[in-house]
Amino acid sequence: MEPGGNADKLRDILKRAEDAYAEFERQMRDLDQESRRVFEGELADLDRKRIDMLRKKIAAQRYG
Amino acid sequence: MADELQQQNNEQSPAYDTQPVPNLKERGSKHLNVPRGSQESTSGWLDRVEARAKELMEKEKLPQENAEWQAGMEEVVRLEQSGDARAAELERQVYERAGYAVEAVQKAGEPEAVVEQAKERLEVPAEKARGILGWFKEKISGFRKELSAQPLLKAEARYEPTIVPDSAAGVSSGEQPAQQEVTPQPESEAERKQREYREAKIANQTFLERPLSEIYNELRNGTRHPRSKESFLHGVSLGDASFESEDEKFSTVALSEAEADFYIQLRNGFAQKIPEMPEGAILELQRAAIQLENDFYGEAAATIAALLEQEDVQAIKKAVRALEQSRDYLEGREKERDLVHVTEKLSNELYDKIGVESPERREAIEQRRREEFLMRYGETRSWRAIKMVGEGQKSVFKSEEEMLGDMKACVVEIGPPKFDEGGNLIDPEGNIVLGIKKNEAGVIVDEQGRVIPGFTEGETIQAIAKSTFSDFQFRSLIPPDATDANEWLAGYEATALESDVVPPTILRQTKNGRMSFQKAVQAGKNRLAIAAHPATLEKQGLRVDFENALTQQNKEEIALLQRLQLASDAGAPNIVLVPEGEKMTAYAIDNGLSNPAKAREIFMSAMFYERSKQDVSPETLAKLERYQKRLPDVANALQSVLRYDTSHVMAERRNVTENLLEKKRFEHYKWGTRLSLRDSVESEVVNDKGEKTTKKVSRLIQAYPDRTKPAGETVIT
Repeated sequence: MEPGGNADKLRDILKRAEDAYAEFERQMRDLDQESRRVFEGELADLDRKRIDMLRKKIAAQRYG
Repeated sequence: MADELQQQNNEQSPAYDTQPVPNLKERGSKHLNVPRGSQESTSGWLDRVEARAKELMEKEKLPQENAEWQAGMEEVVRLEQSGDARAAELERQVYERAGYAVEAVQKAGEPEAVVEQAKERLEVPAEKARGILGWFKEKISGFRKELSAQPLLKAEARYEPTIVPDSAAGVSSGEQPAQQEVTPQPESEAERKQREYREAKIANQTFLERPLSEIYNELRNGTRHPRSKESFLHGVSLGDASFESEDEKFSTVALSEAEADFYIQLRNGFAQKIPEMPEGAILELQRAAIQLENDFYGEAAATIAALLEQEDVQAIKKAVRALEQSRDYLEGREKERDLVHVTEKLSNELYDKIGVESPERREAIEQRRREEFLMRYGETRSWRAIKMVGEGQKSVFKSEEEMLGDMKACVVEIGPPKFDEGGNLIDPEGNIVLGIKKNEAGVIVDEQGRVIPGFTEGETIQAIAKSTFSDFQFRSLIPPDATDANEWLAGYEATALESDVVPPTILRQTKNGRMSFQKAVQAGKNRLAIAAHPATLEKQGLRVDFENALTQQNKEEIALLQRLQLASDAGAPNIVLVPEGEKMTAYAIDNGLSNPAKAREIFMSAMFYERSKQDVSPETLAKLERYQKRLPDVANALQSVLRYDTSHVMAERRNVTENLLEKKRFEHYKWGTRLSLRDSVESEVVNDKGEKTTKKVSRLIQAYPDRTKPAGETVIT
């Protein structure tokens, strides 16, 4: 690609397009991580609740 | 937990099946063939633009500057497509996760408000993704305008995509597709080039960019394989991974290697080396399945095509909505069939029932329910792994080749083997055990004359289990989740029997999708395998002294379960018990659970010999009576989970149960029994009134027929 004039303009547009995609990609990755974190958090909470409930149940059966 | 899971994700062990939640980056680079902005330098982009520009200059004789700008425009359009697909995929994953989690919260009995809040939290990333996509598309739109504004490009009007792929993510860029003017005048050289170029572009377009009428026709006339639905759903580019068959080109982008092989087999006829293939039945099943899928996708595509043909904005909007709805419908349907959910529902129903019918077992059932829950959704191990290690696996598999069925053999301690005059190993009823012989030197060998490791006649060898299943191609017929399904069924039946042994194998939902123990073994170094180490298990409070703890009652239950499962897991006991001194050691046999259609005659079972003609204990009889009452539940579970007709499989269970309850003793194990696959034919029968009439009968298909008996016919009841 020849330097100067239209070639530079094209290079500039492509560079900006690349930057925009890089930013887009980064944000998508962050969102993916965020989604995973929320998902795992929900299940972990549920698990804890369930274990607590079972503990109480077993304790009630044994000692209650 | 989240950190560890993240680490697990990063490791990307091959043992993890990533299918349900695909890795975006991998997916993008493999299927979309688009540049990844964050991974590549500007010079790389420019190099590609330059290369493309040269191509355009040579092929289309475009002036250099014009070619460069056109190549630049192509890059930008590809970026946009990549962004669309990326965002759509992320959105899909977010909703998939949200679906699982919300369902789990609902099942936990949380109030509606809590469920709603969880749903909102889970869906936030999808909303954000839409916003970011909007921002990105605006940017791209700006770049395209800048590129289009160049006088050279404008003068030639060289490149403008005919259909902008907005529908992929359901987000509009706000631009209208360029309209192609229809002119009656003869085509000029420039116009012809332009048309050819456009046609070439269309040929390389993503699925969603292509005219739906074309896709509809391809589906209808069979040149598009329905498994391309991946592309239909996710806008994946077709055509970059294809192979030539004899007469036409098929896209295999959505097919695994095994599936592609199978598809070639379907088209070209099955390989000759597969002996005695069941005639017709499997092919018919496969065709019927393909037809079903074809019908659905064909219908969806036709609807959308019809709307598009109206060529107005409203119609196009409708088309996009119809596509979205189709996708939702399909994903919903997939989810209904999701074994993780199906089996969870069935398990819980059974547990509730047992809790009512056998109050004394409530605590044990609750414990099992909790363990299942953790295995499905939490960071924990599989029962399969526990069972194998806990019972002391001593498989004699030697290599991958042998794992695939070239030779599977297992030593079991049941007494001196008998051979007939020809040197064939025979069972107590005089039936020949295929594939195992004594050669002239008195050495026990397999059918290729190879010495079976560890097998010598006399006191040392007491019994042999041997697989004659040896055709890997045959496995292509088996749905990928069949192993999971059959293993879970084994556990379900153990629970229905209220057996104290053979804990259930549970389908796990890992962060990377489902994983079976088999895969874990193949990887050898992943977390699951480590987690299954006895010391680790002990720390987690799990039972590891299984083999020492077995009572006579336990053994009886194992024998019974093996007997009950005869019809669905090819009759192969996956654990047989061998006395070693005073201790019982369990030997694991790969019983080919993943292949319900394979031959029955793959084994001998120590248990059945041991238990032959022995009385069933009163304790087991009591359990069996309860199991008999639960047979409708078992039938329901079989029907929900297995993908073939299960009526004969259920008949097997009923027969076994009734016989045992009636005779109160174990029978000799009989082999050369029925296969899972049958086909259905019209046959003349005489009805109650003595009139001749036709009735559908189920005809037995024998892939590896019993050498002593012809295939029979059984009337469906």
